[in-house]
Amino acid sequence: MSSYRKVNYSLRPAKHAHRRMMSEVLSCLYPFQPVREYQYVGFGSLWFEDFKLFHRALGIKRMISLERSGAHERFLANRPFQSVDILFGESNARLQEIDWKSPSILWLDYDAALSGSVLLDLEIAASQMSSGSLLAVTLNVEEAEEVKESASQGEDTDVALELFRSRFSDFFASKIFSDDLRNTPFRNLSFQIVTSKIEKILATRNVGKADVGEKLIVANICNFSYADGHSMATFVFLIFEEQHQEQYNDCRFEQLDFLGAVGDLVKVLMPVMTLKEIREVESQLPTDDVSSIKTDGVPESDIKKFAKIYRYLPNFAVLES
Amino acid sequence: MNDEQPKPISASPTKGFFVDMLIRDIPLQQAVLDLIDNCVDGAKGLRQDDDFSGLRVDIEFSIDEFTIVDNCGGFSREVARDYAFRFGRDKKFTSTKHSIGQFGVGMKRALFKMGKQFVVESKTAKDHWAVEVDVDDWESKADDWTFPWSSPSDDRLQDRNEGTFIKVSSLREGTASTFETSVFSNRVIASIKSKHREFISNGLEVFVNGSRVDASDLRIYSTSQLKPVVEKFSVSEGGGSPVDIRIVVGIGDPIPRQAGWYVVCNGRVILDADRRPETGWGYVEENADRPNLPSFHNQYSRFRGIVYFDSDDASRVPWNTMKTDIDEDNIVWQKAFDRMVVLARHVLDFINQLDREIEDYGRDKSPMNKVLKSSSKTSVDNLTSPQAFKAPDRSSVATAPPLTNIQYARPDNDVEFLKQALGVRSARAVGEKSFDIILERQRG
Repeated sequence: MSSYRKVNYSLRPAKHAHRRMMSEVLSCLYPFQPVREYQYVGFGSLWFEDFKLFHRALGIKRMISLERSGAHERFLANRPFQSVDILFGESNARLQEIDWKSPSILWLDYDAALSGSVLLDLEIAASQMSSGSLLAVTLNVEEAEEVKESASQGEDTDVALELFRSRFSDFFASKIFSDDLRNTPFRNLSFQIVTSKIEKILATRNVGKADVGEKLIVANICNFSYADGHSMATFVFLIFEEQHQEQYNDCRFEQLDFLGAVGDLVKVLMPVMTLKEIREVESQLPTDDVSSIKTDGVPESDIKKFAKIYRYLPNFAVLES
Repeated sequence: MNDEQPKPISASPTKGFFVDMLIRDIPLQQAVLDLIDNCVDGAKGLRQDDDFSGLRVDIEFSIDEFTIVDNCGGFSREVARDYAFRFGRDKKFTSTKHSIGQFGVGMKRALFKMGKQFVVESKTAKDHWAVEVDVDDWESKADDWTFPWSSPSDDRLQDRNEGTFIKVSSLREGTASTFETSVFSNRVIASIKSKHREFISNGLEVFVNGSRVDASDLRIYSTSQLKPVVEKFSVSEGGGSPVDIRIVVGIGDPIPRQAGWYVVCNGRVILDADRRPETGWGYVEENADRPNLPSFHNQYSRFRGIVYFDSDDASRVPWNTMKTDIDEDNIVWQKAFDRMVVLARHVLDFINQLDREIEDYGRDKSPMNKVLKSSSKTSVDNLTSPQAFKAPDRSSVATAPPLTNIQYARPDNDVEFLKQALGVRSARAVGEKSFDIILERQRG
C-alpha cells in the first residue's frame, strides 16, 4: 500500500521542520544560478508539501512530481499549482525522461530502506545532472529490508547480513555485523553506500574529460535525521564541476543556522511542550544563552531542542478549546 | 611498369596495435588478480607443501600509481629474460607444478593495461635485477622488442630477502579514475576474497591499500541427516598430465546471489555462483536430449555446487586465458559437466520437495525444514571424501498433520483495518488470525 494512504504528510511536525530546513539549504544555491530558475523534481504524493513550500519560499516554477500510484485523477486534482507536472509510473522509468541539462534539485524522498531500485534511481539521475545540481535522498534507516525479508522466510540475522552483503558489498569496505542493519549504524552504512554510488557514477562521467575544470565532484552538504514514527535520514549532496569551486564556496552552507559545518548531521528532534510553553519560550528567543530562558519547569534539554528548531516548526493553533 | 622487384608486403604488427589488442578485453580488476596470481605461483614454487604462512602480498593503488610487492621468492634474471617478459610461453620452459599462470601473458597484459611506465624489480637468493619501461618510447622503436635492464634499488624491496616489486605509473586515464573510486577497491577486495580463497586459507596474506583481506568461506549444510554429495574422478583423455576432479553439491542458506556453480582450477576460483547455461542452467529448451537443469530461479537460492579441477599441468585445467570463465571446448570440462548436471539434479529435487513441504505444512511445521534449521554447516574445502547425497528421511522425522493452503483476496482497506484491529503486521497474519478466531468460536 502506498504510504500516502497511511500517513497524512501535512501533520508530521519533524518532517515539516526538516522540509523548511531543506528550503534554507536550497536558498543558498544562488551562486550557481537564481534559485527560482532551478527545476525541482520530487515525490509530491497527494499533499505536495515540498512543492508548495519551494514554490512559495523560493519562487521555483518548473516542478515535476513523480508518482507511482495509479489514481491519476485524484493526484491531478490535488496539484497545488498548474506549473506542477506529474509523471505517473515507476521512478526508475520516469527519471530517465526528465531533462537534466540545467541545474536541478532532485529530492528522492523514499519511505522505504535502501534497495537496488534506490541505487538505480541514483544512477539515472547522477549520471546526467549538471553542475550546481542538488541531490537529496531520504531513506528509512530503522531497519534494512533484508532483515524483514529473511525474517519472513524464518531465517535469522546471519542470513539477513549475507543477503545485504550480496547486494551492496561493492559500496562499503568495512566488515558489517547484524546491528549494522538497524538504526544509527544502519544510517551510517546507508550513507556510505549512497555516497560511494554517487562517486562511482561521477568517476565514470569524468573519464575522457581533458579539461580538469570540467571534472565533476560531489560534496555532502549535510544530513538530516528525524523520526515521524520511523527513523528516517536525508542525505544531501551537491554535484558540481571543479571549475565552479568558487560558486560552491559562495553558497556558504556552513552559515546556515542549523549547521556547524558542511557535512554535519542535523538531528530534527521534537521537544514535548504545550502550546502555552511554546509561546513562553519563543518570546525569549533568539538568544545566545539558552540557559537564561525562564519557564515554569520545562526541562532544559527540551528548551535546547526547541531553540534549535523553533524557526522551522509549523504555527500551532488550536481550533477547538 | 616498374622493372624493380617490389618489396614483400609486411604483415608484422605495429607495437601499438599489439598492445591495444592485448589489453582490449581484460577488465582492470582482472589485471590486478593476474598480478596476484604471479605472486601465488611464486609462493607455490617456494613452498611445495602449500603452507603459505609468512608470505604476503601488498597492493596499493591511487589516482597516480599502482604497486604490488611480495616476498614470494622472486625470480631470476634468466626467468625474466627467457620467460617472464616474453609474450607467450616457450615450450621449453618448465613451469611450477600446479601453477595458476600458464599462458605467458598475465603480467605484461596487466602492466600495459594499467599505465605507460612500469618498473619490475626482483630479488632471489642469488640475484637482484630491475627492468624499467616507458611504453610510449618502447612503442616508437618499431623493430626493437627488447626491454631494458635498469639498476635495482635498495628501497623498493626493503627488507624482503626474496620477492618482487612492481610499480606502474603514468596511468591510463580510465585506469586512474577507476583506481580512485572506493567501489573499485571494494570490488578488488571482494574478488581477491573469493578468487584466491584457498591460498589465503593456506596462510598467504594479502593487503589492499593497507587493509588485510580475509578469505570468504563457502559453507553448506552437512549432518548425518543431510549430506552433500561428493564425487571424485580423474580425466586423462586429451593427453598429458591427468586432471583430478572433485564435485561437491549441497544446500546452503537462501541467498540468491550465492547460489549456483563455483569452478575452481588449481585452487584459483574461476566462476562463482554461476547460473548460466554454460554451467547447465536452463538447458531445457535447446538440449532436450541431454541431462539438464531448469533455468535458475530464486526458488533455488539454497543451491551450492562446487567443482574442483587440479592438475600438475596448468594448461590441462579448463579455464580461459583471463581466468574469468571456463573453456567449454575442453574435454576435461565436458567430462565434468555431464556429472555436474546429474549430481545437481538430486539436490534440486530435494529443494523442490522442501518447497512443497513448506507450502503444505507452513514454514514452522515442515519436518524437512526443521531438520535443515537444526543442521550445522561445514566448509566445502573439508568435504573431500566421496559420499552420496542424503536428504532427511521423511519417515524418520515426526510428521505433523498436513495443512491445506487457503488463498483469497479482499479489499486493501478491509485488510488494513483488520491488521490494526488484530494487531498483526502482514496480510497473511490477518488471514491466519481471523481463521483461528472463527475456528475457536465455532468449535465453542
